[in-house]
Amino acid sequence: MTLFRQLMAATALAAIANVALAAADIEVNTPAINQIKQSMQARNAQLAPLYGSGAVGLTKDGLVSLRDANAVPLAQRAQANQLVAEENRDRSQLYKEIARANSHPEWEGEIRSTFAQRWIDKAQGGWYVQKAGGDWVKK
Amino acid sequence: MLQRLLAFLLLLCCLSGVASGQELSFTLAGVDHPMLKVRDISAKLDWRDKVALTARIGELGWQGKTWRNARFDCPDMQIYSAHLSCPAGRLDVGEPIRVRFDYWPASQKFSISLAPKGEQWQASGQLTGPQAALLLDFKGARLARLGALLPADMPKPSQGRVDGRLRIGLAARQPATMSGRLTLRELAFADASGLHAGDKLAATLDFDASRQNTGWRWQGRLDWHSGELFWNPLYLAGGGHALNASGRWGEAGLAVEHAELRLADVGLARASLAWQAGQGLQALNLDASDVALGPLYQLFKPLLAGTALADLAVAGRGDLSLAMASGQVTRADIALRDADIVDNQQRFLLKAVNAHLPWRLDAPTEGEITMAGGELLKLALGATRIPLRLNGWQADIERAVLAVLDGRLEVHDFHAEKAGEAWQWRFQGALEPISMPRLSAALGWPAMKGQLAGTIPRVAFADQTLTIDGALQMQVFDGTVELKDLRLYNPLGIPTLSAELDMRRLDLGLLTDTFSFGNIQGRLDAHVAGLELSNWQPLRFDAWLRSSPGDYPRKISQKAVQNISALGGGGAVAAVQKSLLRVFENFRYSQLGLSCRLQNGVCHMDGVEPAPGGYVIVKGGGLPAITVMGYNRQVDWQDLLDRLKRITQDNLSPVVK
Repeated sequence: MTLFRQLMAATALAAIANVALAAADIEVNTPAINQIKQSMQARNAQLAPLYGSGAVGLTKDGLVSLRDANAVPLAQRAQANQLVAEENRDRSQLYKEIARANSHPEWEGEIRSTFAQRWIDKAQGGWYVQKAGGDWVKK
Repeated sequence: MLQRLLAFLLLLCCLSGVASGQELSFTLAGVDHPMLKVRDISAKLDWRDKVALTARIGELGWQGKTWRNARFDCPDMQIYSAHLSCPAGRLDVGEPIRVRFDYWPASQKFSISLAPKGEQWQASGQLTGPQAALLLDFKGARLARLGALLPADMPKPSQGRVDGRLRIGLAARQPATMSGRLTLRELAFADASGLHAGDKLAATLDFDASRQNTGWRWQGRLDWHSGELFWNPLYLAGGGHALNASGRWGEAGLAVEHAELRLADVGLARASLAWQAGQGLQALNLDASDVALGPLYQLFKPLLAGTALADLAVAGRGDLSLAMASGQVTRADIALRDADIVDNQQRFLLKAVNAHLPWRLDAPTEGEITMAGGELLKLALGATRIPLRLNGWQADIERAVLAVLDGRLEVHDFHAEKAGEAWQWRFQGALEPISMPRLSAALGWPAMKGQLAGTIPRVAFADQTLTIDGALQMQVFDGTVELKDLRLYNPLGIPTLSAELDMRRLDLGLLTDTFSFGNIQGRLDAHVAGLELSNWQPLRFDAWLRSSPGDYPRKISQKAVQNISALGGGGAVAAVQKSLLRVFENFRYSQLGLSCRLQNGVCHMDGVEPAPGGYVIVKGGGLPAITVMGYNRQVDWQDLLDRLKRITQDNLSPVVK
């Protein structure tokens, strides 16, 4: 009986989450969102080799992380650190702006997790992605 | 002889053994300690021809690293009355290592030498008596072997060799003095995160230390010859750096009494500091005179990431003197001499900056910044002098005048202060006339006529938001433009701006000439309410423009009529009599006006008054009169911009039938 109740509650929660997200337009475009996307696109050329070498991985919460700085030459390590910080600043602002453009700032968390899954699904083979438990796996 | 040997072995360990004939086998219980683990030791001593020792250590662990089945063989142990020697032993911990040892039990002298291929690790010494000391000698010793000896969270060497000698003087079996010279080459090390690492490092370290009471007094010199070091976020490469220092070290912390750091290309700094365990840096005195600012900036550049100073090219020289007490900075004296500061993103450029900034945490001081000139957002700045009053985390400028193009920007009552971690500032000012032709040329705009002048009400920056209280007034196109309630959020990132804009009696002749729109004679009022820009792109506004009230000539050229019609997007010109348009060059009007309410990328349009099926944009009056109508009420904002762009670029050739 308890198990059944828990299942029902979980299903209800999932349904609510789906309704909220179904309503959210994550493809919405505003000048700010465009600018963030352009900024991220411009940075991607520098980040791609870092994903490829495993130095940077995609986290479970929609960000990127310098998971193995040792894979980056010393002289470029500070820059790699900075790229990761800038990318995360953009990503966080992107989620916030999309929530705002949907007139639901409180959806930021949901939008972030939707994107987290998207980034991980879109990641190329060989890139590192973070599992729900926090472990890194090579895709 | 055998008795002596057995006594020696018994001294070393507790053993249980079996003796049979000319053989002795024994096992040892081992040691189990969080740092060191030695288990399952069995040894066999055979004295048939020669004395031979064979030992097997089932498990040897040190700091988390484990070797299994380590073996030690000494096929020919030399045993004399006062001397035990193994001239050709062999240790096998995965690789064969030649071992030689000598031991004099009575005087407790010993010597042990380990020689893996290409390396030599040697320890010798005497453990008792007034001369008690240990000598450690290294020749080509591979530093990676030390990795297992270091705590897990410390950076581990992965490559590199060391040559040198370490002397440890003992008193009551405790180290009392230490001195040595170590030469490191090809050193590479890193911690698990990779944020503290070095590569291809070559350095020589000389040091000398002696125990005093509860701690150590030390002095040393480090010469860095080559290699690179990354200590997040700082990166140092090259060679020719040297550190000379002396001080004390104990459980409470580290005191550097005198340090002299010479960084190649930068200069020399003298410092003293106190670092306390658990509390970090408590006191610091640093003096660096006549340092090169360019290389210094490169060194500290990563610390400035995300600020306006993140990407500069710096030249010039300067002095820095800094004091810290009880964990906080209490004094800083900064001097810049002929510094050129160029923003690589071309937002600003400062030439020949000279600054004298004496700062005290708890006392007011006076400083000064001068510069020969520069640029701000492509606007030329002239020479200027800025007197500053500093007081703790506050700075004031009573009055400063900045030459901007051919005018002047006056700043009054500038006040900056640190609130929490962030800085906030405010000022008032005035702009003495800058000619619009020069301003528009500098900003790459169409050449506008007129002047930009006016008072600047209170401008404030706090919480990443720039606000202007009151109205900013400009004189352009012979009229006035007033910017009110301006708020600019996140100016360094993706900015969001909101404002109200009010324009009065702009000369339409000057305006239309400037934008190659076709000529309109008259005056124009315009109002933009609720303007919101995101990254300088309009998000929403409610704007209207219409003829100013009053008496003045009102004429519109044929080309302007065509352009207005084209702006409406087809069908707008329906009310124009085709024949008239051909005959006359200019027309008279009584009123013109257009409004646009921008929402979600769509401009909701209206004109001066309604008309059947649309609205009137230009209302005729006098002779020859013309009326221009608009029929589209919803126009895509981007389409409208594109049309406007085409029109003002003058490459539109409307076809009038």
